[in-house]
Amino acid sequence: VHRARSSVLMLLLVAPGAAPLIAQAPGAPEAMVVGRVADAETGEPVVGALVVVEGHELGALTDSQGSYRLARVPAGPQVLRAERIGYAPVRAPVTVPTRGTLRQDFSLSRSALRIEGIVVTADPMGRARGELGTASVVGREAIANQVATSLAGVLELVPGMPMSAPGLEGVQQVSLRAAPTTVTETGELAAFGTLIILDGVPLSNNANLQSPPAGIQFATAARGGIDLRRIPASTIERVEVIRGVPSARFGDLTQGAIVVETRTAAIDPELAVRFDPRMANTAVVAGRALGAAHTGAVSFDAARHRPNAGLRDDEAYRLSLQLMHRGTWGGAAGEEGTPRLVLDTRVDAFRVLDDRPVIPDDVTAFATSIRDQGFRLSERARLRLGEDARLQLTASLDMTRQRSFWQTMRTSAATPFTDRLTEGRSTGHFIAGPYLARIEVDGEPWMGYGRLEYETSLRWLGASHALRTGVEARREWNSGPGYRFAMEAPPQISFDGIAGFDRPRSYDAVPALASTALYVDDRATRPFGREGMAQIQAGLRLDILHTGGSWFSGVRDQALQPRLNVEVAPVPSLRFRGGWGRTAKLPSMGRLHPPPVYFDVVNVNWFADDPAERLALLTTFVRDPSNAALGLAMADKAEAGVEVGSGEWAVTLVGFMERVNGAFGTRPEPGWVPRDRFDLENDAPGTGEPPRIVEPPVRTDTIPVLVARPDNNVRLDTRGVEATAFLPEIRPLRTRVQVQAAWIETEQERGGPDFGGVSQFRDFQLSQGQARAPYWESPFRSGRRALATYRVVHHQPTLGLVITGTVQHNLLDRVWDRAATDTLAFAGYVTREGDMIPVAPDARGNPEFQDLRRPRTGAFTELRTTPADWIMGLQVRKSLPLNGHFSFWAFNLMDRRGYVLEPNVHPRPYPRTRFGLELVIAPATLLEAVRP
Amino acid sequence: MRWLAPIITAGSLVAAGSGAGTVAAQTMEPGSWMRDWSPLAPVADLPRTMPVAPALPALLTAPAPRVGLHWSAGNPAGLAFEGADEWGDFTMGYASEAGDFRRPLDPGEVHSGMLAGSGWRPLGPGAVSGGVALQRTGLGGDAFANARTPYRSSPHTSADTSGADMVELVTRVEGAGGWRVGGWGLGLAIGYETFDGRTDVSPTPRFRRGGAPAATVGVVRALSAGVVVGAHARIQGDVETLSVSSPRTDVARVYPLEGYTNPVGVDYSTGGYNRRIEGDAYAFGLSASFRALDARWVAWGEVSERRERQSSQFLSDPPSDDWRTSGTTAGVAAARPIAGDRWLVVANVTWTRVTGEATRVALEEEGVLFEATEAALVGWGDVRWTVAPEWRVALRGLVERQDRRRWDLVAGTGIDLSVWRPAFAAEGAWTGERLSLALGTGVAWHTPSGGIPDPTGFNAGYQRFVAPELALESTPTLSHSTALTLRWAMRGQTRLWIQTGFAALAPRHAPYTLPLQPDGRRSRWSIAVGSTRANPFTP
Repeated sequence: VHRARSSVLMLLLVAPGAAPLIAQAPGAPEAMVVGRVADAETGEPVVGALVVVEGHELGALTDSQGSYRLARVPAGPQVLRAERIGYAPVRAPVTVPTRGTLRQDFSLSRSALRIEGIVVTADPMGRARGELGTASVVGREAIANQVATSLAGVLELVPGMPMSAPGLEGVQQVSLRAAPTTVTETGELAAFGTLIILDGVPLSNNANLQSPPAGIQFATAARGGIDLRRIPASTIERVEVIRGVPSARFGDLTQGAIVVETRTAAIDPELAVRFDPRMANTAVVAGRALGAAHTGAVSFDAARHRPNAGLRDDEAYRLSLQLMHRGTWGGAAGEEGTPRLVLDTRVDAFRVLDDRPVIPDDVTAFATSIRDQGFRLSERARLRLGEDARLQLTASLDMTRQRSFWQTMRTSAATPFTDRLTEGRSTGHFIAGPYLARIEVDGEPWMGYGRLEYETSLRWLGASHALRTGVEARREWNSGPGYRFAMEAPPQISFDGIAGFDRPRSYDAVPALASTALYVDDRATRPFGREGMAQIQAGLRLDILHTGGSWFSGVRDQALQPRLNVEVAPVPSLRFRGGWGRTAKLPSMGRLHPPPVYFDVVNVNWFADDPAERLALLTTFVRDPSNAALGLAMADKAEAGVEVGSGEWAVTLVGFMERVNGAFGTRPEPGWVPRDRFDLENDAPGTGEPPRIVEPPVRTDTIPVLVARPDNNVRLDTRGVEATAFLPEIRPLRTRVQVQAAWIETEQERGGPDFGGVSQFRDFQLSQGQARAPYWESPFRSGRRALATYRVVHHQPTLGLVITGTVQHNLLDRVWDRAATDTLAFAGYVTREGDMIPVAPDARGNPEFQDLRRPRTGAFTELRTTPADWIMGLQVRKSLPLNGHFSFWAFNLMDRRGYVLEPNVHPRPYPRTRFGLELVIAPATLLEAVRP
Repeated sequence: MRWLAPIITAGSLVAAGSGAGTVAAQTMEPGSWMRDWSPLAPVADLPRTMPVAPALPALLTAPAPRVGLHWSAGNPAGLAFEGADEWGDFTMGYASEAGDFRRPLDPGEVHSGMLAGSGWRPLGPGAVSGGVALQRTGLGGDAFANARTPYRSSPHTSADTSGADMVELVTRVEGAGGWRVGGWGLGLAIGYETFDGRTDVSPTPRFRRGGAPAATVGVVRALSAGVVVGAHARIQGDVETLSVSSPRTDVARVYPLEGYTNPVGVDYSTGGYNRRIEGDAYAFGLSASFRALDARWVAWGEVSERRERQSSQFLSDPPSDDWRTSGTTAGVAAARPIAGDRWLVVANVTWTRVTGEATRVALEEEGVLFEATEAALVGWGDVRWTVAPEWRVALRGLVERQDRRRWDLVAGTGIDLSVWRPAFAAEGAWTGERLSLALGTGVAWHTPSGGIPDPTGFNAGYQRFVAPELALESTPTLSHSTALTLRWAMRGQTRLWIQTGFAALAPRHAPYTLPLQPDGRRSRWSIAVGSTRANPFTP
């Protein structure tokens, strides 16, 4: 009994949502599910196995005969899952009657590959826990079968996601339900609006300030979502990708939520080694019970990637460590109840390094390095309050130490330069000739997070309700030296005598971001007719962004977000679903508190041969680009869909429309600065001293300038259709076909004027004779993508063999910027004083606007498509003796090139062929086998 | 089509990475029967191989050779009637090969490590077989070849002068299944081989990568009196991408080799040299299996076509070089136990003929630029005798006849070579209660006749990259191999073994020496450990 009890505690970790097993409310439309769990090889009963109803927090343990009994299981299509330490979990789709008893037996095998019907793709019938919105659920077997180094690779199982080669090169982010356009901003916004939740606690990128200054390129996740490289695929147990309308429990998102459960649980130790010509990856996962009430677990992953081996010494590596302890107090861990108090303590630590060192003998001396390392301490306490209620407290502290640098050789013409930090006129110095420019960006984003949630089950209006309400608070801040460079070697050399260099900025002074939220959510279930079932999930969430860095500093912005999901199943094999809701996303600290903008206007530029005779006089103007009105971005999401099928097969079709209003962009705001011009005296060569300025200035020029101010001025519209077909197994061939497809169109529109290309406005700045310059309306950018992925899965349980062939068909890739480019397209003009004067369309042809009728630059208006093409992958997994398995994988196995530099074709290069092997062994089983 | 080097067989002197010797080891040595069924086996291609000693009988580490529609003719449907037992093996080995007696595009040194596993077993109303192998190879000592398999029938290949050391990883996975449906058998075999190679440290880095999927479908029909007839079709595709780049100021000099014309080096200082080779091949075959004279007989025939296109850029530019071949293969094999199971005699004769033509887009008006007619007749016999319960011996004889006529119509010259390669191998094994021991040795002679161009009239590029190969092929050689195997019986049918081997190849004393003939010798040693399970053929 003691051993079984320990096992229960360990197993609870595999399904954290099922931890406190809450029974359904009395009187609900329920049936009983009973059955037996047996060992597939021996037929012996499996004692202490946990059988849960997925999507509900309902479960039971098997007794000494291997029998289990689940009382009050909601009627309708459900998925049962049986699991036990040392065995691969087994899932069984069932249709629960409205009353009576259903029998469902399970056979558990030590190796999942030897189990009938394992699912190695996103589960078509899977449900995100507690959610009714459209979701893709990826289980452990699918993750193990996927060629993935990190969470990004796992997400390729979601409709609409392109295949990519495994690796650690470059920042990895995910953009749910978004098609790329001609600007990377679209993908960054979508990634920024995608919420990642790791073991019940959100990860945030809001305080990431690792952005390089304008004109400098190095990989950074600062403008998008978190870098997914920090989450190794090897340590993930389950991923739920909520693409539809999430419940009110989820906030700080516009696109969707990705809920990740790691394998830090009480599971048999497992060692995995993966190797390919560019990468090596090792992972260890283990956990065990520590007495009757405590469980400890550890997972470790180390990966090294040399993407350009043989050519450059570029290297990326990742270390990831997770420690977990669970303690339980009170109650009985068995059929009769669950512990009264469960405390989960987790420590996550990671280090991701991405280095591009200098190539020997390379005269450019170009190098970059991105080094992120951090830890997260989280605590989750669940307190059972009677039969049907519980209180859950979640708290976490998350810190990442980010170190980035970039360097290259610069060759500067004689350029006057000042490092003045305040407004005013000062003598500068000259930068000239070759020098090594280097910047360092060192930040330490932190996040403190807490949530208190109350859940209960009750019966009301003939339906059973799962009700939860909670309050959330988070505070995010950054610290550290921030952005730095040596003043003698500035990174930017394209200096026009007006735009200044970005000044070093310490992140210690950047104010914190604080937000709070309240939410309430109810999920009601009610049967109708003979077999029908209706479910409604309705919720309301209030997000508050505070003015200062504390939760008591007033309200800067707030958003009330109603959310509704409805599912109607007239018969168990047919479900109609729909959802509508509003979500909100906090702005990043980088947008809330942008660095000051400096204009260094050159008054005197006297560069003599003798350094002692040189004179640089500059006037510095400082503009604060911050926007006090910047607030939350709002997303309206709507979807409707239908699902047909049973557990053996399923076809789903979902149509969706999403609009993000007030997404984060920048608005160019015109203004002006004066430039004083002086006469000089004593300017003859050979004096050994610089010339003297003759006051007062002989002339003052008006120089128009633009300040890029963060704003909620971007609208992001996305519509699309997602379809999946999970066809029944062709039994004689032991083969199953799965198809998933998505057609997505994204349109991005930025509010505010467009002043054309950089050079166009610069010409205006420098030409004193030019009184005005045209501006246009911002281009309307759109991208359209259609992607179909076909998977053929051949599974031979007898051999423990799974062969997965994947073909991804790029049916359509199209990008298009719509913008008028004719000479009458201008919307108005800006004066040298920064005044914007609109011009009515019918007046644009008037003679007085002759100077404004010029071709537009900086907008790409050609429709560009990419021809349809395909790419293929292969995965072969074979069980080995002693609970191990071996797998071979190949990506782009025909080495297809895609489209790279074809004329009039939007590029879509395919990554080159990659292949590798993976070996997974169970050390405990090995030791057991060799033990005398 | 490329194959992994079977480095555990002591007799196969492998030019791993150059690929040429490996194909020979697979297709022309009797020990290769366990992989003859592979859908990745060459189609309409007869690579030029190093003259090596045959594989040893492997009394302790492999089953006796099999004869069948699946095993001999490559029709996977034959498994439905031929897979009644179960076998599994795992091998981990290392081999090192070096020596001056080599062709210009063979690496001077080869160091190779390999992991491999294979097996077969009954499954439902049929049987399956399959295997996987991973090989990591270091190529050193002036590895000039750009392509992984420079000595195929195709004349299009290239070399560069950096000669930097390379590392290469190759993986192959393949499997076949045959299912019985009444008197019919249906079969499918699929395979995939892929590789990735790069220079280790070089101012002009070289990369090559590729993939080759293949599939075979077959059907057989069991007739009366133990006669089974079948038909099969094979399809293969292969892609190889190679590049030589010069990221700094160094210059990469590449020699495109296109037959027997004078190669002209091309310098690449920016952008580098790129080459993409795309091939596809298909074959149709008929086969029959029957019993006669107390033996199991299999006869088969196959016609095949192969087309290879090479282009010079990574973009989808039109191919610049084209090579088409037609092939014909016929074979017969027989196995007969004698005196119960004390004797087993297995014989196999295979004849293959390939004709090919090369054209270039840039010289379309010239028509065919290069043509080749090549044929190989390989016959081998394997006799196994259980002298006593603890003593067994095996003898193998191999006779190979190659005829190659390769003619460059632009240069107006070519080769017309015939080669005889007789070879013998013997192995004796003692089996104790737990421990077993085997010692084997083999020898092979390479005796050419015919004519090759006189290299003195050609340029330095020809004399460096072409002439030595022709001289080596025209040189009589002697190769030999030796292997010692120890095996330990575990519980059940599991056996652990360790094997070490040595092989060498050198020119025989000849009355004259050809101009530019490679000199010296080439030798190789190997060590491997492995396990076998449920071997019904070896006690």
